[in-house]
Amino acid sequence: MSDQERPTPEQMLARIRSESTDAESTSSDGKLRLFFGYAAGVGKTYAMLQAAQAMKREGRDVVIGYVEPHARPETQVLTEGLEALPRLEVSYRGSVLNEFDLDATLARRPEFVLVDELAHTNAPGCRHAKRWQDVEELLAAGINVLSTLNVQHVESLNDIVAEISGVQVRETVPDSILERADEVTLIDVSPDDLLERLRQGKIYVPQQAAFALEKFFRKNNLVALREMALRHAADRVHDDVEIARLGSASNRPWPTNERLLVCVGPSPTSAKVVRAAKRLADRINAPWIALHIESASAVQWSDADRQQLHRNLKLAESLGGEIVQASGDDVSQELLAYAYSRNVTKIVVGKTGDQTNRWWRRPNSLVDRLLRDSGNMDVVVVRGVDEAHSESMHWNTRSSSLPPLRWLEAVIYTVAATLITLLMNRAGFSEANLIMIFLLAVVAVAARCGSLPSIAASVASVVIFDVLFVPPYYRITVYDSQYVVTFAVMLIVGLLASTLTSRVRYQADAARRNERRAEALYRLSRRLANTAKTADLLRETEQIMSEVFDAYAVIYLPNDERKVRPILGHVASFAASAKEFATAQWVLDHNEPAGAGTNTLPSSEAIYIPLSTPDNVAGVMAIQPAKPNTQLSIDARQLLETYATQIAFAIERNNLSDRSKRAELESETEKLRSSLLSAVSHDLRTPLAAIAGAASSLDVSINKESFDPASHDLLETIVDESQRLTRLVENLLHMTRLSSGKVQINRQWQPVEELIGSALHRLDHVLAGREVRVQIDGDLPMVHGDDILLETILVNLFDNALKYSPADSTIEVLSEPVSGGIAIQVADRGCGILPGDEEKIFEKFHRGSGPNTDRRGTGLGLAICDAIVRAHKGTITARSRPGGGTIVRFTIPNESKPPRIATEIDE
Amino acid sequence: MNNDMANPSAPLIAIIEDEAPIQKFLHASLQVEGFRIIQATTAKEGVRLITQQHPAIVLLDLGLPDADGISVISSVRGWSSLPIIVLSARGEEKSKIEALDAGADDYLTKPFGVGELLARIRSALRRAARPPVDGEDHTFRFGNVHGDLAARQVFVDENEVKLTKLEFDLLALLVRNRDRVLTHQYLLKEVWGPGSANEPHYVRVFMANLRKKLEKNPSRPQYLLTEQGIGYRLRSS
Repeated sequence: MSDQERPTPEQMLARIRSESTDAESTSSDGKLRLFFGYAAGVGKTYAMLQAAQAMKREGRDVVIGYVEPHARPETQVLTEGLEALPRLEVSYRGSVLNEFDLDATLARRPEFVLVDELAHTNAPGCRHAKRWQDVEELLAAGINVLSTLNVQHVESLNDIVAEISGVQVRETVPDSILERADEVTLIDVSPDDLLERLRQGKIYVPQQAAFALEKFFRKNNLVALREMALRHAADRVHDDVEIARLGSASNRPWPTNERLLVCVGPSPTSAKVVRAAKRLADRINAPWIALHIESASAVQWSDADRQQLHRNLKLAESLGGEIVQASGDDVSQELLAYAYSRNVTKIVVGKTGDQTNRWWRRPNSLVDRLLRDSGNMDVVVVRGVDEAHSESMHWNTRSSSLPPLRWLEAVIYTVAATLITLLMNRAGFSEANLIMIFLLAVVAVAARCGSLPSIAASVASVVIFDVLFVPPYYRITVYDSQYVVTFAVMLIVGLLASTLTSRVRYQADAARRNERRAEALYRLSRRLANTAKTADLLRETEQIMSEVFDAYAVIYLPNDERKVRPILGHVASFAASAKEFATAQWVLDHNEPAGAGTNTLPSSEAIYIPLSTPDNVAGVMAIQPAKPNTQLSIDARQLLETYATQIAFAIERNNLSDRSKRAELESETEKLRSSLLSAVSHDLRTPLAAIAGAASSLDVSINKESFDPASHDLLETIVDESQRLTRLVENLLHMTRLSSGKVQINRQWQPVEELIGSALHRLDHVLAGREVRVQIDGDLPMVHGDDILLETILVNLFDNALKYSPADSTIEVLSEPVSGGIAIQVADRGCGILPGDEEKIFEKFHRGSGPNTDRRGTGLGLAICDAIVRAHKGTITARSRPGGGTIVRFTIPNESKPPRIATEIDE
Repeated sequence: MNNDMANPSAPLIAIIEDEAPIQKFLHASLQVEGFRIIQATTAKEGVRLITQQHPAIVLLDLGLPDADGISVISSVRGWSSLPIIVLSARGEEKSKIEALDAGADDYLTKPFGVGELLARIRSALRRAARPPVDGEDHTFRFGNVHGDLAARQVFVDENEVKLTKLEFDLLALLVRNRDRVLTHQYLLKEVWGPGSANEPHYVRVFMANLRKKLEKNPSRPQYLLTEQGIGYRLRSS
């Protein structure tokens, strides 16, 4: 293999990433299967239902989440036998709408769910604005989804479809969801067949869309749409082939070094340019950036312009572009500087009406300058055509000053200048001085009232000067042609002055605004850094947010179970509302903004921003503008997100320091506890060991005849009792260690037989010839547990069996495999357990309450067994044995498969 | 502290133990049995005593006030192979393993009876007196099992038992170190080689096989004994 054919490390990395994301999505996320067609009626729903029926026959758990209630019998037949989830009934403006019930589906958790019409817009009051968002949530919850989609609903193809069919489709689905689909099935019929079906009335036509559909179902439309659908599907197949080819080490330039940048402005045509950029980026498989540069001209924008810009940027965001806003005077220079800084390879700009070739066109239009200065970057110029204005949004931004007032001010200046010049003219001042006064007025208007009033003022000044002071008086006409120059210069100077002053004004405004933001951010970070307690931090933050955004701010923090709680008694009244706090919970769970002005839960009163750090969501911040019915501008949104990051890190830092303090305290406590434990155990054990040893010494080494029988009995009592005391101490220490939760389980694989053997061996002296029957299943796998602890269980169980059963009875031990582990049970013929005591006997210091109960027990043995079994994640139960006696049974699960022992070849 | 009353030819036992009651009881019990005894209460003093007086056997408490008992074992093992029996409490399996790996011969868990102590002392002394096993005597016997290490033959009663190579190696190692505790890690390293340290279940599985072939009742073994949490011991009597 030559070097050229071998994939580069970058390629390999990309492949590994794609494989690993595959693996991730298979492991946790649900799979999305799309039935994709070019128009209504091609049979998507039919195909989806057929697929569902096939799955059901294979025994899969497939349910209908939502399928449009078609009247067509053959579709209806296919829904039979499939479980259909109830629909959500939403009342909206007096009528009841049927919607897909997201929560019911999440609660039912089917393996597969059918959700028709991916592009559907949900009724107000549903959690998400769009059905595709419901589907995303289903996928995130690990539920596989089958859905249908028509080509005209794909966001990036939206304007092409509009151009072809003349119908602007409002319901769109972002390309990202199409890209994440694991399988796309193209459903295709020929346009002739489709038209035939339409004529036969086989296509379901919603009443309100009848007109649009009529426009839609023309043969040439259908042919074009079909081509688009086929091409889109083919592109997808092409991508899959490319990935596969790369996998087989064939050579192909990896295109990720391409990066696209598209300029976004406030014109409606910009939306089209954005979509074109998205398509181009897809084709060359490159990331793309939507850049807006705010220049001095922004001061002249109307509120409608700002809204359009906001919409354009949101569109870019929804299409998967990265959004960047910058400001600067020279748009092309700023744009190129940014493009160079991000290694952009292609710049996409729109060609608008202003830039068509006309003689007075500015020679340095944006496109020209980009072409000149773009160096090795490609510049793609896209034709921009006005789309029909999309639906108006109820959007209010606070305008900076009131236009009528500005104009009034301009009029006052001009009138004042006129009066002054009239007076000066009477006093005999020359014309040049009068002109100066008018210019002064124009500059003053430009400085105070903005550019349009100043242009008007300069024109008005020229006219007034002409009428009042140039013969013939009180007429526009001029006899002396020299005055034309005077007028022209006056007008130009006025216009220049107005442009310059308005630019200065804008820059001063921008600087002030930036300064205010920087100052607020600085203030926030300083206060965050100085606040140690989380409660103070929240209060401070909420206060700063309120000041900066003129809004009510609330911060919700999750508790240990990742749940937020409503906050009572807060200045912001919505903080206590159950509905609002449900939104906060959603944001916390999904790490995405929601609430007013977003597509998720838009009926909330406030906007909710997750306070996320790279590996955690520290909380949720809610912002509700103080003035009702206002929303945050995209500027403010971005600023808010900057703040959110700062706050998130501050909260996280506080959490970490709290946690480390707690851990420190815990480790101190633990140190104290274990040193106390070892001191106590030492102090108890040493004298016991001395007593037991000394007593045994007397027993063993001294000639027994020297003791009378009574003394011998006393000696025996000393030995027995010291042994009993030793066991008690050992049990107490054991229990203390186990209940502190600090006992390390050292799991190892071992044969059960050995455990039973060693436990019996330890009790040899107590067993004293008692018959013990051991029955071990031939196929018993090894047990995965801590040898010493498991032996302790057995010793305790044998000890109990010995203590509570007659001396001549047999003790039976049985071990057998159970699913995922092994079980061991010890059975005796003792006094059994009183009914109702089966659980209690595992409690600390509980002793059997039967008539034959030996009061000598410590009541710790079974509690220790219980603690050890629990630590191994097993179970332990006790019950009375038929025919008298007790059976204690415990299971120890394996954490992994038993190891295989390499078989040895016999010599 | 010498004991002048005992027979000067009796074995000399060094007791290194800081707890006065235990020391007193050990001293009394062993003296009665006719041993000569020297005593120390710190690790430093203990090492000095051993170097100066050359005891026949050492009883060593692991929890000494000035140093870890294991340090005593290491420094003694630097120059002598005299038997060392470690005294320690239950629940200290880790330090027992460390002590055995450092070269201790045996351990006793407190509280222990004098009978057990005397048995361990005598068996350790016997082992120390015995020439290295591979010398002349390579036959062995425990219970109804006997065999020949050189001929690689094992009999239960008079019937020859087939052992696999690894089973035999494991048994041979236990026979050569009879009555001593051998740790899991030691057995693994010696029989399976140094690369097998992460497979401690090998020893357990092969031990279970040996018990099935040699013990009368494999679930209540009499000779191939488990020292839970530590290793195995072959009881020869």
